[in-house]
Amino acid sequence: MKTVIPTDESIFHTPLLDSDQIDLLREALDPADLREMYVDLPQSARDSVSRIEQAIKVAADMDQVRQAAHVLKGVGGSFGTLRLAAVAAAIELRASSVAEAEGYLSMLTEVLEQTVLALSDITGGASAMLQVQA
Amino acid sequence: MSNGPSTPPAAVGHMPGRDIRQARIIIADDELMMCRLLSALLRKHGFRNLLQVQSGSAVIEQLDRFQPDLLLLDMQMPDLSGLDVCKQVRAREEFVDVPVLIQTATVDRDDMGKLFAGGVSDFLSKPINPAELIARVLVHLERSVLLGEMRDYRERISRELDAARRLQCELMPSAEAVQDIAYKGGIRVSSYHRSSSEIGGDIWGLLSLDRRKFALFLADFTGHGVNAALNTFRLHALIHEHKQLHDDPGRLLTRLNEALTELLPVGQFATLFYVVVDCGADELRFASAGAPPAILKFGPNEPGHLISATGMPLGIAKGIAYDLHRAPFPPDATLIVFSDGLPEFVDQRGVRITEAGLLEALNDHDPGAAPADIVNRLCGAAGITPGNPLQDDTTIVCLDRRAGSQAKWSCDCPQRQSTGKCDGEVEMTS
Repeated sequence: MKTVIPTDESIFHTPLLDSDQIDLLREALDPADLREMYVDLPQSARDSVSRIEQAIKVAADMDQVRQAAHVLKGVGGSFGTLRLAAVAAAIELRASSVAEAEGYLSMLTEVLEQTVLALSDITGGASAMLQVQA
Repeated sequence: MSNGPSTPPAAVGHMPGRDIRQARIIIADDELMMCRLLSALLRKHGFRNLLQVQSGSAVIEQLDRFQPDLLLLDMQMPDLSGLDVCKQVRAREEFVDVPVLIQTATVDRDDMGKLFAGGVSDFLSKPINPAELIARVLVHLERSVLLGEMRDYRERISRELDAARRLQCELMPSAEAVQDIAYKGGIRVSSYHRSSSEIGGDIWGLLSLDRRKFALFLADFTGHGVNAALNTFRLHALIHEHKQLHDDPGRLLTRLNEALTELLPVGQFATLFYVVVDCGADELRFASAGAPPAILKFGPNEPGHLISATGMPLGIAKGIAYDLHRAPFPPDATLIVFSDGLPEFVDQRGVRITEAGLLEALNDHDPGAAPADIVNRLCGAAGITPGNPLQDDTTIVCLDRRAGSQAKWSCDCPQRQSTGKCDGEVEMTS
């Protein structure tokens, strides 16, 4: 199975959340476990985005950028935050330089905030509250 | 963090004697959320012995302490890749069979080849599919448990077979008994005995009758392996039970047949060649129960010939009387008795030597050859070489009177060689 590298256009059309994947997790996990992880997911995603940003702006190291983006892609895919995973995949696999990767940063931040808001449906508002507190 | 309900879904396997939910699993991913997700999924399915680590090196560090039954590794970790970890794990003998599952988002044919070549048991696609994760973990744990049980079973059977083989070896004539008989009869004795599996259905023996007279017997039970070997114990006991008939081959075989017909299940039987060697009277008295003919050779320059007797194998039908036969056994004579594993051995060309071929090989041989050389010559002519697998249990016993006043015994029995009891040749001068 080959990874499909998303384009800017395809990212735009990618659903924010993968309801099928989230349903799979909902069926497979204890509700309390599911909720706990989705409560913590926004902070984890923020940390990942922050690591990508640091790798671009401070380290200016494309290997670090790709590594951080790879982690966010994996977590995003498995937790069903599909559009966030798509942006991370574009940074990991499409960007060929730090400058190109930096071009995705604003999109990444915007999709992160959209995702955090959308996740509040799963966590009963807890993640949204976390976002407000942050 | 909640541990969730304690009732695992029915899908979780339970192997006899071992609950695989007790399996110790290391989950390695540099992203804590992935570790948590995998742990939660496994916990939901009843797994409790889980260890989360965030690096490849931490997996290596925890191996000895945690003794994992399964490893669940992320392919891309900053310090060591999942594949590198797997290779290091496989380098440890005690973890060579532990299932290693790698989670990766990018697996093409080349990557798959590298993963499996590196010892990875299976891979998990990303994004994580909960059903796939559980199914693969279960199938690999069950396989691992089965492998372990098979290994334990094989080791136990191997130990038991080894003990049985040693016991069976003790049924054969001891070095001292052979030396004693060879010394009294003024003969040389050489033997070859090899089973086609761990233990076999051939048995031979020497029974001392008086100073210059003894009996030689060679039996071959149907099949090989444990069943056939157990029957050799039966026959050995029966022969010793009828000591009063040891000097009367025909009546002894008749009695043995009656007993074995009662004891053996349908389809199991034995061939037996029983010969009384009377060195005082220069005579052989023998009876056969379906055994291959023996080879008798007079003097160095005379061709050998086959001596045989008709008789149904032991254990097939009651009421059979076995005839007694006689043959001269002068001081220059050689007698070779063998089981059908020798003439029926199929060599590399797919050819059996047959009794006629054995005679030919013997007649072409150096007439002054010692009994051990004769045995080796016959084995070589048949295509039997040390270490090559046998299709059937094979026994050869060679009695040689040409030694005159010298008595010499050699034994090629591998079991005896392993125990050191019969190693080499023993030469005795009367």
